[in-house]
Amino acid sequence: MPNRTQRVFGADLTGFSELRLTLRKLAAEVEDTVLTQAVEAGGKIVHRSARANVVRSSGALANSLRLVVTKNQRGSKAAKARIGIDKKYRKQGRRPVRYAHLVEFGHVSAKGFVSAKPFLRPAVANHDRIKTAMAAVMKQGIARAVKKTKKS
Amino acid sequence: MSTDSSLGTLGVNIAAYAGQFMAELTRAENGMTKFQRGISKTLTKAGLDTIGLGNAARAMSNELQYVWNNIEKIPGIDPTTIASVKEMKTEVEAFQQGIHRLVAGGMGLFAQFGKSIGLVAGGIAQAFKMTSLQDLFINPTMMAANFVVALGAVDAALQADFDSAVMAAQAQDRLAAATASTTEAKKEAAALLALISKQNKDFAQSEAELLRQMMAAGESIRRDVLTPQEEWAEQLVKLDGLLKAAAISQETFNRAMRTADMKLEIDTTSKPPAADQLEKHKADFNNVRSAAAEFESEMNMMWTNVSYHAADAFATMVLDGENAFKELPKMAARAAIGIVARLAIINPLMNMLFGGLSGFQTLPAFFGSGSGAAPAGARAAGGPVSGGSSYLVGEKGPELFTPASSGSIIPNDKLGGGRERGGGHTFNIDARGADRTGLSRLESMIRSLDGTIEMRAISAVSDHRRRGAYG
Repeated sequence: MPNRTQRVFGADLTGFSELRLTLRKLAAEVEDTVLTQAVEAGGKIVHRSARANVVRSSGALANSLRLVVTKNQRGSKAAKARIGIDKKYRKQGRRPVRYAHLVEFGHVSAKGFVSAKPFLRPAVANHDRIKTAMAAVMKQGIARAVKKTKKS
Repeated sequence: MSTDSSLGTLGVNIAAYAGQFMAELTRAENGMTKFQRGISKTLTKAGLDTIGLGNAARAMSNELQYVWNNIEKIPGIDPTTIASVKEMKTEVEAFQQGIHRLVAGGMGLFAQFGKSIGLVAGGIAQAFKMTSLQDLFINPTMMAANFVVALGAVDAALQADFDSAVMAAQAQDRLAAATASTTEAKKEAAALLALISKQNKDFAQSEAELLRQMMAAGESIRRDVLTPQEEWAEQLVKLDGLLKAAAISQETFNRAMRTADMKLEIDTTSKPPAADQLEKHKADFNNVRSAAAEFESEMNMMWTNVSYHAADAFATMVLDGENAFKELPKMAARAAIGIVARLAIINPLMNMLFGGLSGFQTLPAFFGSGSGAAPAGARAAGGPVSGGSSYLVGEKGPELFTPASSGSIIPNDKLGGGRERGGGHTFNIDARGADRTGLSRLESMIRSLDGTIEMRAISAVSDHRRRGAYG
């Protein structure tokens, strides 16, 4: 027997409960996996670009660049990718963590002003590539998460 | 694993925060719930608020228009996403036009829906804040596009589920069919195995039976060729085994051993070796064969005589008046009488017919002639004999015996043995003078003599019996 909605419209709207459940599961799946994958994809682009931007003399600075991906740290539900200099890296007595910022921004020495040779800022300047990579991963991840949540 | 604390202060962070995203999703969910409730409430009203509905539709359309206007600005946006948004926009516009055609004022319902859409889009947009790239994902347009992508994914997932359900149903049907065929195949296999098992069992039984028969035959042969010593040793082993198994008592064992010892002694002393026994068997067989040959010869001779003298059967008929052919054995015993009758009757007739030719002996001539000298007497009953005199004797017919010195003849009835008293006379008959034409003539002569033959025969036999010819 048709309900009132069907009597008025000649049709009924269904599937809200399923959609709600799917969204709920989707949220958890995105939180656990998709966000991390997305920031990692963006971080890899920045990391590769930064290594490529370093003007090499000994190679210590380029080799000391690291990509670290973390999630849900200090109680925050967030995924984070950080590209920086490894504090413990040493090569031929050089410790890039001590002079990386001098290279990035330039500095004044006893011999005079040393111009900046930025490698990080150019790496993040190309927003399009980062956004494209993260969007692609998000798209695939959400589709995969939806499929997964529907199966579970 | 490295942590961000292992890195220096100089660096770049890319972060995505989930908390707000989750909150907005929850709000979207709540909005949908309200939307659903709004549908019910609104639709229960008799008249829908056309104005409100139109406003809501416009608001939603405006939202989508905003999305549409900015969607091209999203870097790397998928063309299919753009197409989806365009399709959605088109549908909303068509829906908006349809709303205006609605009579009732149920537009509040779609105001709720539009609000929900806006909340979702805004929520997602706020979810992707970044520390260093604040403007990267702040653009709500992109977030709305992502939401559209998510909805498309939901739709695709639902379609995939439907396809999966269809495939699952088909697979289930195939599984059921396969299960049924497998069950049938299992039944057939079980029946086949049972048949094979039965055949194997039957074959094993028949084979075992054949083997048992062969073993029995072999055992029989083995026992036949055992020497007495081997038999004794075998019996000893057998008894020893029974004693050890407590199947027999010691006394029974001792008695059985004594019996076996005695048998061994007897067999050793009396039982010839197998080769000797075989030779003895051969000799016995040859003796039997000789005896059989002799018997056969005698029988042939007897029946030859019988058949030969069948022509003289009339003599028997004359004597006892019976049909000779029905009394063949008797006739055989009496063949001699027929011969005598022939000699007494037929041969004289022959002589008479053929003018006294000497080819046909007569009975008196048979008994009285032969050596040319008259015998001094007959000694069929035994008696003394004188040297130089001839006497009538003969174990195979009448013979003349002329001893060089005196002695005596012991008659056969005094020798013992099984010969019948008064019987057993044997006559040597030579009827070679008769031929087929002669017999024909004889028959015609007999017919001409008519009833006189009977009297002649009777008188001849009586005469010879009186003379002691039949003992």
